[in-house]
Amino acid sequence: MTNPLARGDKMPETPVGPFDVAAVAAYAAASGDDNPLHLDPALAARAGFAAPPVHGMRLMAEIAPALAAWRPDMALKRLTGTFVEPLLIGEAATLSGRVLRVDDEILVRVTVQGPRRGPSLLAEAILVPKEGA
Amino acid sequence: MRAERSLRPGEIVLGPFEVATGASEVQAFATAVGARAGEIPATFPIVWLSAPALKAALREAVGPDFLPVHESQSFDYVRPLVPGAALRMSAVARRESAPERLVVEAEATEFSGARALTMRVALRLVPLGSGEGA
Repeated sequence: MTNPLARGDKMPETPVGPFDVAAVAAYAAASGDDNPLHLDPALAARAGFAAPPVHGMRLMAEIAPALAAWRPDMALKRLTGTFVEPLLIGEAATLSGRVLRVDDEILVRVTVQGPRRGPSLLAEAILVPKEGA
Repeated sequence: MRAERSLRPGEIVLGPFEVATGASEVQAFATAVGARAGEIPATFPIVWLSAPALKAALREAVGPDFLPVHESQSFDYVRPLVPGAALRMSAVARRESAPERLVVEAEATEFSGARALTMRVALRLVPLGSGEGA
């Protein structure tokens, strides 16, 4: 794909989750993030959640593959994100993205939106053309 | 984080630690996030913050009265990560108050000294035992 990105261009929306207990446990094991908030329903309930929240980093892990599938000619230079609202085990979300700025680099706002009012993840990615692309 | 930056009050230095893009760790992580085999997922370096020595130091910095909740995360990729590489990672952790927070800035360099990536982790610290979130 060689057509240049322009401000306002949108990524295709992709589904994220839902994640079950086994998926969250697998992420905890592989990442080493065994924060009991994600694994212990009783602790999650004490924190006010109906079910344990999925690791925010598990959601963030969806972004780079989605960007690469959309624009295989671009490399990821920076990825930053804020975990705004939890996405609980069993809840589905949608990843979407839009180009905010184009200059030497391309700034893409990426959102993982679950069932709550606010997004579960509000992220920004900076893309640069791959060498030789 | 820049190696030459001087520490501010309340900051603690962690490391350097040796970290790696070992095949089994990368494969386990890639499987858990549904990534294609043979790729190093962009968020894989988060694994390095779970190295036992670093994790213990972070737990101590958080203290027993708080539950850490991941608030924000950033990665800056300077050089591509390659499979089977060993790197050196050093980090600075800083406690903030109002709201209670632990911010960790980490830098991974190749053994040549070339910077490979930096990352920043902000953990919101929710008080345990009483009040909201407890």
